[in-house]
Amino acid sequence: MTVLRKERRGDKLERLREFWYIYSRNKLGVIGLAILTIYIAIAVLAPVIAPYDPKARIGSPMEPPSPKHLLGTDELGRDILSLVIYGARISLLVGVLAATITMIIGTLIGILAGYFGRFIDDILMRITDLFLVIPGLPLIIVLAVVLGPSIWNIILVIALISWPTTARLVRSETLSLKERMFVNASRVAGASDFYILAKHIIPNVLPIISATMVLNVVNAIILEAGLSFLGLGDPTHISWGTMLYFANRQGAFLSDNPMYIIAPGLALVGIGLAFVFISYALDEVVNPKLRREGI
Amino acid sequence: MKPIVSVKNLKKYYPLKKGLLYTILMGEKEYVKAVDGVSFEIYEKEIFVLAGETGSGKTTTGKVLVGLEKPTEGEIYFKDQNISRLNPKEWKRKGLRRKIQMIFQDPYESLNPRSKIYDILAEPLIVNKAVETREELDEKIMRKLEEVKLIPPDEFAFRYPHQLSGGQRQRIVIARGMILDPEFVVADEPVSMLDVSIRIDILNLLNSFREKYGVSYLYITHDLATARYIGDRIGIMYLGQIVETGPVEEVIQNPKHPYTQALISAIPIPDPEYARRKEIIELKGEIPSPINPPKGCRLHPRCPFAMDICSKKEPPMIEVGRGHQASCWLYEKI
Amino acid sequence: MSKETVLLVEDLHTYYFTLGGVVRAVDGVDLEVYRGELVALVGESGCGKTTLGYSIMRLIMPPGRIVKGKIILDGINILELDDEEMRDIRWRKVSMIFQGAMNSLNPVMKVGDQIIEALLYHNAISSVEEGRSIVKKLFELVNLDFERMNSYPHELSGGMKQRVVIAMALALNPDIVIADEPTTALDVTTQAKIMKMINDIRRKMGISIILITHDLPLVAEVADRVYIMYAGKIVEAADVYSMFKEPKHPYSQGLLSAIPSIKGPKRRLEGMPGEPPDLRKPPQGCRFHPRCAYVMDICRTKEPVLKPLASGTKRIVSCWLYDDSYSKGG
Repeated sequence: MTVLRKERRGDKLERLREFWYIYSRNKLGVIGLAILTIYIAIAVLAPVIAPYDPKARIGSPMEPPSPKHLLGTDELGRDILSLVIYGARISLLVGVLAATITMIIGTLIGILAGYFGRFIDDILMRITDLFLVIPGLPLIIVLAVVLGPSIWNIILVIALISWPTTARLVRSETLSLKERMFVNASRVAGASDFYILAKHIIPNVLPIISATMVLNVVNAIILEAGLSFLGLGDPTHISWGTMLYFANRQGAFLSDNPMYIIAPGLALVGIGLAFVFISYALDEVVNPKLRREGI
Repeated sequence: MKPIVSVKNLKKYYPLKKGLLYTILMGEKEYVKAVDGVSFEIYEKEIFVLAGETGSGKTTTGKVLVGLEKPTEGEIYFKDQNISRLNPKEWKRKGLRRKIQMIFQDPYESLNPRSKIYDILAEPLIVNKAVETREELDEKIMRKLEEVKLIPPDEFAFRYPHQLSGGQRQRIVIARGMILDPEFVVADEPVSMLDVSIRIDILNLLNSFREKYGVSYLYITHDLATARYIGDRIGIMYLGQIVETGPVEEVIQNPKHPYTQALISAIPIPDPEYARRKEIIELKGEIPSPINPPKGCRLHPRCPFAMDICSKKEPPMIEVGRGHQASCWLYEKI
Repeated sequence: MSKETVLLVEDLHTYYFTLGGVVRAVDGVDLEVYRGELVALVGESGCGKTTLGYSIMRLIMPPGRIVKGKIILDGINILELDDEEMRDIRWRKVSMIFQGAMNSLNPVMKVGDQIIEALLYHNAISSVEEGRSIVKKLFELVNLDFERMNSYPHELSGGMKQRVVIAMALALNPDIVIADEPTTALDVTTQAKIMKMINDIRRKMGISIILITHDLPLVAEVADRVYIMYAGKIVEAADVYSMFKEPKHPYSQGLLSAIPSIKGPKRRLEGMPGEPPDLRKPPQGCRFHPRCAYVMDICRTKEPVLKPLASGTKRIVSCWLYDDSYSKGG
């Protein structure tokens, strides 16, 4: 009699190990994770790494890159490298946290509406539509007045105005998934709605979720600057978003120091890429069809 | 002998989506009458075939029987239990999920591409709490894989559906349907997606479960050749109703209802000499819409033998042979 | 009766050069079609029958490529034509009813206009009026009401859509029509009507038809001759009567004995063991040998050739069992 090979069956720890095994075979995924780790390290260790105090004027305005100031200075004579390094703190916090909250709300509402349908769908989708059509600007101004300025409120507001797009996408995917035959098969097997959602629907909407996550992170980092200026935050704090805003106002591209706009821009591209790569690798983990032979 | 499943006057209507204004103005809602008064019985260890063309309502009937759809009207009895109005929780509580199962048509669509075979087969056992230990779970899965001839089982258990061929996948679909050791199984076109050389093995496999465990089947198909191969009795469906029923061989060799006659005459025969001699009985036009089916006998606008009464009164089931009934005015004894 | 050859395929190889390896979808196929006959090309999914059809239309797209061979249509080797010349021949001399074509009609365009547009594209007509009169003739041919030309695809039943697709394939009066599973998606009663219509048109217009299908009973009903294809090769060819009465190749025998029928004695049937091979690495020797009940030593090492069963006959088979040069049983 044959016995099922135990070591391949997998309890939780096994699954985690398998997950990592497949993930780590994806080079892009590892690169993405590495970039993210480096970014986080930079943010945490900013005071140690940064060559100057980012708020101090240590040179003349708009100095081009030099050995002293590797990325030059801004219009106030501050060191751009230090600004970018310190900017990682707020930008990462806002980007990742806001995108995560967006993802959680959007996914939850999208899945519930799509899966349960009928009046639950109607109610949830009308609420979604409401958030989609409310002009963002007045909402933000009102919230700024009510909530008062703080970085946490910025995160909250970004999530509040971003989730409907995710919810719509997830809902339409769920709608088509729940009609798939394997969901019916699970129902006939006696699986509860909760079980079907956890085992069949969510793993199959994951690629969509991770794709929107990428967009949401980048979006949130840029939105943060805008919100700071509208009074939800302190516009003098240092983030990539505010840097880009000021650089743009200075016409940094045509100035003596184009690094003023290039540096925070590249930082943003880097974090975006990191999330794209991670989402590729995650997709491979949850979608066995994409895996290479031999796994 | 008592039937294991009996279906009485089953109806399933789907409301047509129309605007609110339309409903107010026209006063009534329109329905797609997918199944419209179907009755049949299935006995122990029997394979009852529901055959018909697209839109005849055969698949909807199957879905209602396993509780995937709620009937609009009519009763379904499993043994002595009326199961037609039960909700999913009651199905599970009364242990019906373990007794009534389904085998799906499309081996590519009906397996979650992201689950391993092991997890696909474990699901019914876990959600029905049919096993207590890990070892028992392993053991059951392994045994079923062996029974569907996927040997050695651990060659297959840890693969994903896309790594298997169509025939192997269909064996997984069958293993999943059989893993709870059900008494009654609805098999919805289980071989229609497969290559000819594989079909027979799958049919033989279904038959082996009947012989070994006494499973009864409702076999849903559009293919009367496989119906004849595997079935005991058959119901021919047209526009949501059974128009003829009886022993498979009797119905196929000696069809009484004009629709059955036309259907059977259209089936190609793998014998060139015979095939070229046979006459095809043609029905006029195409299947009418199930929203407003013809009054009287539903076939009358297309029937070559239509009489006056056919357009006025719906024909009852009339005995035309031993256990063989047809719903056609031609056979009414005057 | 002398038969005129319309299409001759010789030693055709069509491969797909994929990342996972070279897929030998068509690997040395010979095929002959006479004027006015209906030839069935039978095989299971993945045997290369559709690729063969596309090759004859010269519609193979990268990563696929016709590697070698000849396709002689009315005396011209179409593999030597340039793209411009081929475009001229395609549809005029050889056209195809693609599998599932009835579901790929443009949903927002009237079906008549779709045919007229195609005619215009091929410079077959000079005005829309002329197109309408051709559509009228075509619709008559396929038993569709002329008014139907103003319908959108969703207003038509499956059978009607298939008639439109067939009308399109016939629009330029081709010599050969390749019909790839033209009735698979249809109900049997509709299938019977469509096949009868195709056969009537064939007789009336004297065109030849290559019917690509896996449905053997259908073949018995309509075909004149049958080619059986397995793993990229033709394994047997015969007239339909001999093929069904006495198949020679073990694969043909297996296929024919695995189909249930509504006539004849009811008996237990057996399927064929195993699965068709992966065409990236087909087995050595005869490609059927791992599944063959009569396998001999030579089958594992040397590929059999497709040749006449006896001199002078039209029955050809590719199997060592029938090869005189190899004495069977040792």
